Amino acid sequence: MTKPPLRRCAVVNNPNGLHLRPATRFAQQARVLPQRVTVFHGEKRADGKSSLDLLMLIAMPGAELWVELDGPDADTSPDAAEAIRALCDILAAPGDDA
Amino acid sequence: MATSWGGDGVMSMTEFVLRDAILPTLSATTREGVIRELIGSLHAAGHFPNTDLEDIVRAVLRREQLGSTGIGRTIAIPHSRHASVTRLIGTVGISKAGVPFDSIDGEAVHVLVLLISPQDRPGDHLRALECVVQTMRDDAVVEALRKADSGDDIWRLVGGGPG
Repeated sequence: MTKPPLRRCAVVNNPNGLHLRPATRFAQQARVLPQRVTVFHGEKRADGKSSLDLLMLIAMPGAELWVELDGPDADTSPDAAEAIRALCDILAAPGDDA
Repeated sequence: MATSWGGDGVMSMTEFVLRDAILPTLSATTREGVIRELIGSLHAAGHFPNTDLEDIVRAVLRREQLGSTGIGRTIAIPHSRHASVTRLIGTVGISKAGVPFDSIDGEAVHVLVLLISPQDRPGDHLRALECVVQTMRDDAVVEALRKADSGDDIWRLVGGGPG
């Protein structure tokens, strides 16, 4: 039986939207995970392990993004639950820089 | 939140790249050097006063200190926001020799797209980044940019007409 992916929502609070720096930080953190990481913005989807893919979402301040972890133990692992929380924290961080 | 790019959100690089500021052969060999060269070229194209030149250089270098804008595949997108510009402007520069840039893949950078955007238009800034990434997805475009001999060639490669 196919196991469901782990999903969590985050709202972009950075006044500059999801720009290169938080996208890079997100991708760096996502790349160390064993699961597939996908980020959804409405109809668009991005490979969470690619900062460039994430930029293509054009997520403005207030955008609602869904992060999905799919793969080994995504639905049961406490590590996966913690990881998706940390990833959502990056998307929701209000920090402002270039 | 102010945004100025209306319509369907599709942007072409020719909407913000200043044709006169394109540098087909960068001579500097360091990250700071090429950034100074590109901003100097934007300044020469007449889009911000001399008094703001050094401040813009410092802003772009400060952004680099937060994390390299070398996105891999020999491309970098140094950028910053600055109050001295009233609209998003940018330029393209090519380093034939390559410049160490602390890029995410560790490769030297050959293709640089420098962006300066107004303080209050995050939408334009994001769409410009998206537009550059979209254009550079094609390896053939990146390769052709690296080999380009003239500003006109670069202009055409980023979507401009021959005129």
